[in-house]
Amino acid sequence: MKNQNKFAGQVVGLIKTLAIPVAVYLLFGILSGGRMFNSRAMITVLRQTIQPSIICYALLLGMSIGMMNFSAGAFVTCAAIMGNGLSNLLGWGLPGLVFFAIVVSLACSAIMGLLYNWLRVPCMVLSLGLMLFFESLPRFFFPGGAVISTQDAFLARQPWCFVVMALVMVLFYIIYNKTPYGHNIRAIGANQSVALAAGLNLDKIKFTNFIVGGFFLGVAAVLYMSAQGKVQNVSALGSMAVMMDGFMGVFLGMLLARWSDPSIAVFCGVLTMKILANGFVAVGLESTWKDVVTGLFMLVIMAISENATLPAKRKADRLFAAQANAERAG
Amino acid sequence: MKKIIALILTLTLLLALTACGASGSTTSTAETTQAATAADGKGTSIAADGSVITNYDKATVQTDKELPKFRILVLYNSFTDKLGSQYKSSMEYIAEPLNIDFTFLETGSSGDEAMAAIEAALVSGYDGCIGTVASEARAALFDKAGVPYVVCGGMPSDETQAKAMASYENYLGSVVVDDYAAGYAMAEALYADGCRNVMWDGLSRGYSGQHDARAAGFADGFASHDDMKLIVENWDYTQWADGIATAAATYPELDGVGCTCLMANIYNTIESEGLVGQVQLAGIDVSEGTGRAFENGSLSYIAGGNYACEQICFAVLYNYLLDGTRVIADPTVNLTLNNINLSSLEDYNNYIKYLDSAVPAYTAQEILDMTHYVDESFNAEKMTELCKAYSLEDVIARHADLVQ
Repeated sequence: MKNQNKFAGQVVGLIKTLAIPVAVYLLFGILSGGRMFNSRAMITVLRQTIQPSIICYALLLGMSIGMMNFSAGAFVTCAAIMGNGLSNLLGWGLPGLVFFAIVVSLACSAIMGLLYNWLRVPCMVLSLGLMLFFESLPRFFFPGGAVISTQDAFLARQPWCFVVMALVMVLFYIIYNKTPYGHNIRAIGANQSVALAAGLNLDKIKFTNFIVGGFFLGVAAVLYMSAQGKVQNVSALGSMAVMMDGFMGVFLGMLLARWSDPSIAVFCGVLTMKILANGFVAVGLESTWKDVVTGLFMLVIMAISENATLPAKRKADRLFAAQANAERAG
Repeated sequence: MKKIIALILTLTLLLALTACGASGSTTSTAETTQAATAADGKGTSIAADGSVITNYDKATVQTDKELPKFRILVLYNSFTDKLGSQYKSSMEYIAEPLNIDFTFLETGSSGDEAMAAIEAALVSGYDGCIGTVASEARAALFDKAGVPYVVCGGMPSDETQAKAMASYENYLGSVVVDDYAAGYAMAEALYADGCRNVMWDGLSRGYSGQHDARAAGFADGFASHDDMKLIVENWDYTQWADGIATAAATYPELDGVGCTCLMANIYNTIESEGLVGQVQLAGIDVSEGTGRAFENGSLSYIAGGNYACEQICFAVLYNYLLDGTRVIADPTVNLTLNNINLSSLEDYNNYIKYLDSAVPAYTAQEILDMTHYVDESFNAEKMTELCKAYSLEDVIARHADLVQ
């Protein structure tokens, strides 16, 4: 009975999680005259959701414990260029790209983690500085950027991209829910003071957090390289564009995580943003409007999220006030 | 844990430095170069006596007098992207024969940062500057420094700004490619290939005058055909490939796309979405994947060779520095350079051979021929005609004996 209730709760939670992306999809499907109501359009949106979602997983891990990492995009471009470049130099093809992209991303993350613990600078500030550094780093070794051959770029195409997404989603679920590390970051996210008092080593956990996030960013770099075909060096915060899809989706994902596991919630958050973006193309509106609507959409969602408990709190306050007045009158 | 991380870091650094040490070269933000001969491995061979022969070693000029030495500052966002590297190599090619010291300064995309970098560079003293930003602030900056300035590939945003810039003595004018004609040609090429339901995939309106001109040309192009319809538009900052995928999924009748900038990921998208044979592409900027797209038949037209703008700008500047000749008669009117129009794999192969090899669009001698050094009668009218004559056939005819 207890298991049945738990299962029913999970199903209800999943339905609530899917409600927003489905609602947005229905809206744009209707506005586009039914053009989005076909399997090809849905698969296209799902495919476009994958790489930002993986970046989002990395961002979520940090934001769970109050660390906002603006250099995620720089990690992705750095890992993509250097990973592909090293692989091409050694003639290792796709396996080389996967290996070196993840290693480079881990190295970047380790550097950031070590600096974070050593300098005690807020993560946001540190990430802004390192973003410029890691944007520039590949230029020294591969000034022309990186190019991948068509036959090695299949991971960004279906069905392989979905296989990768499924594996990453399962991995994230396991890490977040079934490992001590996942337990610890949830504990820190809930109440850092209590976690510290309980004896958790915050420095170690935060450093691990960077490393785990770095792994996901390395995988994202492989998909990014495969999808782009050619990745050029960026500068002056140009890498922000790489992570922006994920960045917007992570906030929505954190809201949806109230009803389902973050591995699903994050994906649904990014999916919603992608449906929004694609919907504007289908409807024929310019990206300027898309940017305005996306911003307003996020504001509304976050306002609802942050104030969701307000009505219940006010009701409870009114009840308490009524009781207090009654006792006083009595 | 930290030991493991340190080991990974060390191995990564060692591997990167070892693997890249032989091939990488440090790119500094400001770089002065004089070398220009074809010492880049293309067309080089070893003679029997061991000396190195460059088949393309035509980077010389015929002149009976020593050319004066000039220091020229060349500005661009980044010289590591395709266009930037072509700008740089086309200048390097002519540096030594024309006795020029080029300094290449990357200005990034931030306006304030760029102005600060330029002001710092101007302290070193330059005879002229070629940049890509057409703004009154830049014109004023160079005028104040007494450095003649010519704009490559950028144009004043409107007539008012053009007049304001022209009021500065040291602003020589702007050289642009004919973006409108390229856009028009894109629509015509798609129509010729049977496309009737087309898409425009371009940069958000207002960001760039050149991109807006391409869009305008494309719009006029398809409007000239009653049976050609624009069924979907995507105006975005960078998500052009995703826009095509979405459009193809939601508009099954889509059969042609005009794209303001054909990047490699767009070709990837056409292939990965299974759109080869279903959707034709037309666009601008030759890149990786262009040849493959012509091979698989998914590309109807592409305009390229924009880097020649930089060489024309140099010619404009060089004329002025030599004897004060202004070959842009009215700085408020842009000097327009034709595009290199490619419509087939043969065109593309010729483009690579004649325009993307060691010999750029114009040799040092050809640039010298645009000055009073060689032609006393050379003037603004002749420069305009020369720019209008620029084409793939023109370059092939001029360089048939240079490129083997």
